[in-house]
Amino acid sequence: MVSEKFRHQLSQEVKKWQDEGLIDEIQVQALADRYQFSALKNADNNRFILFLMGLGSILLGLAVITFVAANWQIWSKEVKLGLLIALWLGVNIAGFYLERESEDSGRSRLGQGLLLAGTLLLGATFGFIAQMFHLSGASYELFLIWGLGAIVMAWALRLTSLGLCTLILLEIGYWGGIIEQSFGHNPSSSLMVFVRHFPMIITFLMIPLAYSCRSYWLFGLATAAGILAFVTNIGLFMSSFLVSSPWIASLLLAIAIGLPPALTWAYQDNLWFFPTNSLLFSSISRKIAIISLGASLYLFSFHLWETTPSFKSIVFRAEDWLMLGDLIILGGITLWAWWRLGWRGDRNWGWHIDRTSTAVAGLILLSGFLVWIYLVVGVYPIFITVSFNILLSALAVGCIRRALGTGKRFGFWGGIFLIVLQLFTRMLEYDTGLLLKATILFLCGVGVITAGLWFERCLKRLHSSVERS
Amino acid sequence: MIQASTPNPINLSPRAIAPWRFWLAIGFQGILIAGLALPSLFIYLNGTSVILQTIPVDPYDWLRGYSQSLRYDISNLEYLRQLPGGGFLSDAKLPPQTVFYLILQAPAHAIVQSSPPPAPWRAIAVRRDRPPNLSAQQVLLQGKIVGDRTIQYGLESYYFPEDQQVSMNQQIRAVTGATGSLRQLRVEARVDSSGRAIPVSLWIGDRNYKF
Repeated sequence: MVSEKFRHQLSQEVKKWQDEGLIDEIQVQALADRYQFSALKNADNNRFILFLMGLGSILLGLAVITFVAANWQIWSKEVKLGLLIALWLGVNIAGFYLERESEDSGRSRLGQGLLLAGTLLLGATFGFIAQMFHLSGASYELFLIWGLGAIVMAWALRLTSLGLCTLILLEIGYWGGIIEQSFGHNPSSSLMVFVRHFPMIITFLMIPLAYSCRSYWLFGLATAAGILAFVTNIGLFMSSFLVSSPWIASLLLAIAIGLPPALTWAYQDNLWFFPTNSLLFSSISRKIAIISLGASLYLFSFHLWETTPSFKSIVFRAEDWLMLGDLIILGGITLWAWWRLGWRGDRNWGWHIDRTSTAVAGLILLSGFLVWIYLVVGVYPIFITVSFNILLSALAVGCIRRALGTGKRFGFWGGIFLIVLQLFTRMLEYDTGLLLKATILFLCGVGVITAGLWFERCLKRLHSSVERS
Repeated sequence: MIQASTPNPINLSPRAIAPWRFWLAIGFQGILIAGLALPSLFIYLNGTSVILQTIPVDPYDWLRGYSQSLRYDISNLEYLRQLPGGGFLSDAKLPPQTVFYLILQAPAHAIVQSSPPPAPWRAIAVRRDRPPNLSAQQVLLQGKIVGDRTIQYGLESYYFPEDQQVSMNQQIRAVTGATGSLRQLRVEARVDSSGRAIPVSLWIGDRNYKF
């Protein structure tokens, strides 16, 4: 699909071409018709109205939910239930048929808003039924059921707003479940299966939904949610091994920190078997890979290795083994993605990856290896701390170096941020004198300003050399 | 040069959603709603009413509003172990989610006729498997051991309107102040033949709250 940004740029370029006499009036008109420049003018306006409609619908939905929670006694239960079901059905049906109308009319946007309100009304209905029969289950269960209902609607209608709403509901359900599992009274309900396999739900329901809705936001947020859930689940799973078998625990920890960046780095849109309409989510995926790698390196760069983490040994259940299935599936996809990334059918060597991917793979493997040798072999803790700090610096320098080649600001500022964060954290972590603190702050400030100015100059030079060529 | 032939507009909104997709989703959501409501409705319509002694505390839930969290004499594992047939509950290796059955005996006929609140039913035995035969004066209640020592009957929450919170709490204080114990707090529950239960009303002293 042609992006709105591209159409915007094209419309400006076309104006320039026309002024310079490169193209004539008829061609301008043809381009304007083909790329619908007239619709562009309204796009910003439309987005604002859509935002307001969405906000209004969310407030309406919340109003109904709060009304249900108030447990008002003037109307009987039957009347309230009938009203809620009628409202849920009516709002959804009205939303659907209004949404189908042409995008130029305001009705389509009103329809989208109503569909969002319809999803919130589904939650209000669930809440009311639970209240009516005094169901005493934990609230995360209601959120998970609500999320399941919402995901089906989001899939059916391919709407980003419903997709984001679904993601929020599932996230509340998931984290509620994790809290319940760790601290609550009712850790084993049948809905716990969704909590345990949450990364699978994200991978196979939310990510394809992002393609279906063509939404960068949905892809990015769902991927981040999936990574957090994966690390949390494997972490909890691992804690049951730590006492009995450090060998398996260290392997699981290495996988938990290594697999998310490995998968997201090698991820390509064409990994899915369905046509992905030339969308490029791969670049967001790579950014997420660098962020998750940076986060895990940063976390392990703390001086925490002298105290072996002592998790209590939890009762090991048979269903925990099913979690290994998730690990095998995601691990398999990761291997497949890396194989696809490097496969060059036309070369002699067959499989070959570029320098950046090699560096990322090296960082991931090294961090996993460090965790493993610490827990299994038991080397000096100081060696592990120093090594993780070196890896973190290497990642930061790598980001900056690559950004200088490609002229992308994200990598450059990401790298600078990592270096400053690392210096700051080490300064606060270790008992350093005020004079040293002042010096580091001064050097960081000067460094960031100099680096920024220098990068912008490099960027200008890069652009002018591209233009000359 | 760009050919200025008949322009072929690009498809900006390839969103032709067939109505059946929408109706399928609505149908699924409807099944979820029914799936949540029908089992409880069945118990409500077909269940036997029992009265249980209770101990309340009040939390708040965002979706369902204010509620009383309830515990019962029969929520106490020690109490259950001392009942006939409760020996297996002392087993340290009891699997999580263990389901058991409690036999409740109706109060004697004379007490039922006395002034409110109605007399509570009494737990007389614990069974690991569902007993085949019960007398007319007995009811089966299904319980589940979750976590380390927590027992659930599905009767742990009673939701009430926001504006009743103060008056209910006052009533609870008045009742417990008069007798010095919580014995005047009772729950009316409905239990179906398989032992599943839902709370129906709350007795605080001689006042009945039903929401």
